[in-house]
Amino acid sequence: MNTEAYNDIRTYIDRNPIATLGTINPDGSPHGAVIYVCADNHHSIVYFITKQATKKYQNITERNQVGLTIVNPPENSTLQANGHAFEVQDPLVIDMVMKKIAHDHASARDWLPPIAKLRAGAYVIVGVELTEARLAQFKGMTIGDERIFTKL
Amino acid sequence: MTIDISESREHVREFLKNNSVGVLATASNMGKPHAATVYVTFDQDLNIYFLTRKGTRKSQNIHSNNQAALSIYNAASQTTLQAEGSVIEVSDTSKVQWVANDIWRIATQASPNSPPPQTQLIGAGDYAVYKLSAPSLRLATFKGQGAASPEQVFNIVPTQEESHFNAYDKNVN
Repeated sequence: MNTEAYNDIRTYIDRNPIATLGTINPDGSPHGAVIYVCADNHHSIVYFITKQATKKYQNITERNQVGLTIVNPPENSTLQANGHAFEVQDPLVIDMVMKKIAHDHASARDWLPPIAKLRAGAYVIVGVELTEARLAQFKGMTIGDERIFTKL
Repeated sequence: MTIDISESREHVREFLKNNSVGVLATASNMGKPHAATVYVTFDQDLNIYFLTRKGTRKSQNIHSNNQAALSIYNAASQTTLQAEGSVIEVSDTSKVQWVANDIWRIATQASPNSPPPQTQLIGAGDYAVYKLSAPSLRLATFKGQGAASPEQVFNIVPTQEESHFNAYDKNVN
């Protein structure tokens, strides 16, 4: 893993903790859903909370390949990542994820992620082990400039 | 639940008018998902348009699997719009020009101090315009919402003209 690149990506996720997750439906069509995320401090893993009856969770249990994207329009930046999703079982990690997501959204009046408001089965914490990630920061850059991208 | 279609469609239009940045999920011919940021505009029938540089991964995916899913999120109101449907490349030059002009306007408004990459693509003519047509769009506002069932949270808005629509997609997000 490129530690320096991951640190930049982790910092970006910390500042922009809302992502869209792409999964594959049973018929092969894609599905997209918004998730609240946090990044692992040491490993290239992004975590999110969902519930067992959601389409994205059901898709992941069938096919664990996912795409994940974060966008910050005012800054002209976006993170595009791919990886493999897995259900987190480690109680220490689950505790860390819950605390981190609560902390990241603490300034918001209604900090609970949307999934908290939906009756869709039991909570589950999912990790996405990143296989590739590309942070693009276009502000002040010309397309083609190599300094735009930070790649994992 | 029974929904007034005209009102719901108007809510969707209003949301799309004020939230023009989304994430498009596509799938490769090997079934690998890909998610990428797009600026979007829309027409009266709630077809959604976006442009991308020719040869990008999303463009390649669309040509091998024309199914795509768009998600737009407004964090302040915790509102999501989801659209799943088929995508075609727009060849009509007047429509391409309309989409390019509209996305130029939207992109420069979204980022007034630094022209976003889409405006550079348009300037260079190095792009393709695509239309996403979804049978229905799914709108949900979570802010201020207590715990609720999907039927109560999701407003399924058909894009085709019908007087009333009685539907609920049991698959939640």
